[in-house]
Amino acid sequence: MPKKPPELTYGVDDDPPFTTNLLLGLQHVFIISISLIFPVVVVRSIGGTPQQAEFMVSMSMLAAGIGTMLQALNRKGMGSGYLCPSVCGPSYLSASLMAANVGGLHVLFGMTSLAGLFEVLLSRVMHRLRVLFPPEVTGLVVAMVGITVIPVALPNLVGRDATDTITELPEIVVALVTLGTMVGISVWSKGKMRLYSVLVGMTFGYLASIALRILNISHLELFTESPLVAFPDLDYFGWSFDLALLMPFLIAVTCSTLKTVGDITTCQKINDVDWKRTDMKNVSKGILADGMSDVVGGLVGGLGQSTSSSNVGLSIGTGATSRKTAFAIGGLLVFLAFLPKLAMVFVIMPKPVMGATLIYAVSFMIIAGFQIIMSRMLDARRTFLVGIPLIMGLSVDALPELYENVPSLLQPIFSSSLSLAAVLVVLLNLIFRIGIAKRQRLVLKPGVDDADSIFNFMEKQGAAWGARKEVIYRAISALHELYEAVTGSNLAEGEIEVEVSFDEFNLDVEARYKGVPLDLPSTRPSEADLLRDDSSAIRLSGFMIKRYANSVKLDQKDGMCRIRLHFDH
Amino acid sequence: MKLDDKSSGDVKIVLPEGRLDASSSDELKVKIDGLISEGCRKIVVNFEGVEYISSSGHRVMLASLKQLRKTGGDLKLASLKPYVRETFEIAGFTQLFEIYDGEDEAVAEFGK
Repeated sequence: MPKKPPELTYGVDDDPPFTTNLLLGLQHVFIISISLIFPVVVVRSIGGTPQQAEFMVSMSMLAAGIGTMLQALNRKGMGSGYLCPSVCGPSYLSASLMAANVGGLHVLFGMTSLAGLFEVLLSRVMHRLRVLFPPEVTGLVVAMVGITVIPVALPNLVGRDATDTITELPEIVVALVTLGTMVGISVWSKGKMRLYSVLVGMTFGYLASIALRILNISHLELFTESPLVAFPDLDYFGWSFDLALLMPFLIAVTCSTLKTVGDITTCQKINDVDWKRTDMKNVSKGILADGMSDVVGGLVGGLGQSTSSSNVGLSIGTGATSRKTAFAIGGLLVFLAFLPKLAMVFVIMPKPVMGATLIYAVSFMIIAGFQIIMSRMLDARRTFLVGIPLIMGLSVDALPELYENVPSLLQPIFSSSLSLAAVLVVLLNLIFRIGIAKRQRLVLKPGVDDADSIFNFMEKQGAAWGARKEVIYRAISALHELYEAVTGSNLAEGEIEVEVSFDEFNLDVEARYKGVPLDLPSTRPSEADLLRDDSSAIRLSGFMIKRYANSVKLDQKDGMCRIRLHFDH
Repeated sequence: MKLDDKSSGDVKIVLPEGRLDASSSDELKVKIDGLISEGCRKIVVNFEGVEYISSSGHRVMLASLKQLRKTGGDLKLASLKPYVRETFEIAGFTQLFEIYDGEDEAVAEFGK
């Protein structure tokens, strides 16, 4: 049973009051609305009409709403049960542009549904792929899902986009007001104010934008001209398929799936103070929901959906991760899909407000990723495993010209820092598994070896296995106590052979020596005994060994003593 | 293991550094015994530099504590790293010792 961390005001199982929940949901909708730029980009790329763009934005909202609720469901194998909202997935942008330009929007809708079905199938085998996702891999993916948002966040923060390359002072002011308010409330406010840090920051940002004329009469006209209620034009619906586009969509959905692994891992971690590793069964349910939201996205005429790292970051920042909020978000999005006038409030969001909000949210995501990576011991092998994909991923944003001539089939991999880093880290993880023995042997010679021998051996092995530091140090302590007790009282006639084996869930240490068995009492010697009697020192060691290990077994055969220590990992 | 000491008023502060195991804890015992024989009755052991302590180290701390309390003095521990503190808990010694987050706090406690 996950233990709720104290920094959360509302944990995943908590039930916030109705109004609070609605306001929390509204904050998330603001962030989700940022991704609605992707369907607009796709429609514009084929010279589509504003009505087509409006239709696709509305249907993407509908798909995101349904996807967010499916993700929170956690019923009959569907959904991870976490607040992990769906958005128009950036991983799909490249493949979607290709599909729309090759065969129009109907091909895009058909291929999006097909990609979703592939993800549904992938979810059925995901729990068996635990070996592909050790904490270094999921941690890097989590960090990269944050890093990949930077090229979108920064230009927006300073009021720039493809058509506007000049930063004006009012835009800087709005950015500072918005980000400063959000950060200030998160850091210095008391009580429940932190829950609404983004909503308050955005409100201040909108007001500053109106005062400084970033939002002006033309934006107001867009708002007033939009109909209050509108239903989709049935003429826009339609599905067709082009098998030549299958590979880019499969690559896109694979990248999106890796991102979902990272997002759900973060959700697991932030909701459990005792989190140790990714729960892949839970991830499988989340990927099923993610796949279904793609299928829905394609069916209703929206863009491919993916879990949103920015929204997960927001829930960390505000300390509110209740799954009930996911249903509020879902309800709001479905509602807004048919109310263009209200949806326009989000569509006209000033760029600096957008940028500030993204920076606030992804800060948490990037740090969460590095925390996951550092929860394990790292040796040279694991340093390269994290470092190389990190560098290559960052190069996509820093040196995009390097990848200009990549074949179009592989474009989705090289289209974002996340995709490239995620694919590389998974591949390198498989390669670096070569040559790691899961069982290692150490011979301790009384009078020759000391604590260094044990520390060096165990630390090296712990790092090679990517074990948790605290478990390795418990094993070191137990083995060292054993060595001191056995050698200090001359229980061993010769060498002590130690064999250590590891898998993700178990660390086992077996020590064998010829001689007298060690006393392993269940109660600690009294203080008086410890001060009076030297033999009680050995009993204290035996007692400590029993406390360090999760289980201890001792047997003796033909003069050989065998002590088996087990540590849960 | 490195071993240092300093004074703060009439309180002596002992600063071990490294691993406190069977081989190094004797050295610590000699140091504390020496301070006691010089007449010092208020000792703080600052564990900031200690990465690991074995049961031999725990025993030395226990012996020093008892020796000081017998003569009207006391020994306090400060700045234990989380894992070192956990070993004191595992050994069931946290009830015996007064443990403080920082050296200044431990020294100030002698003044009360």
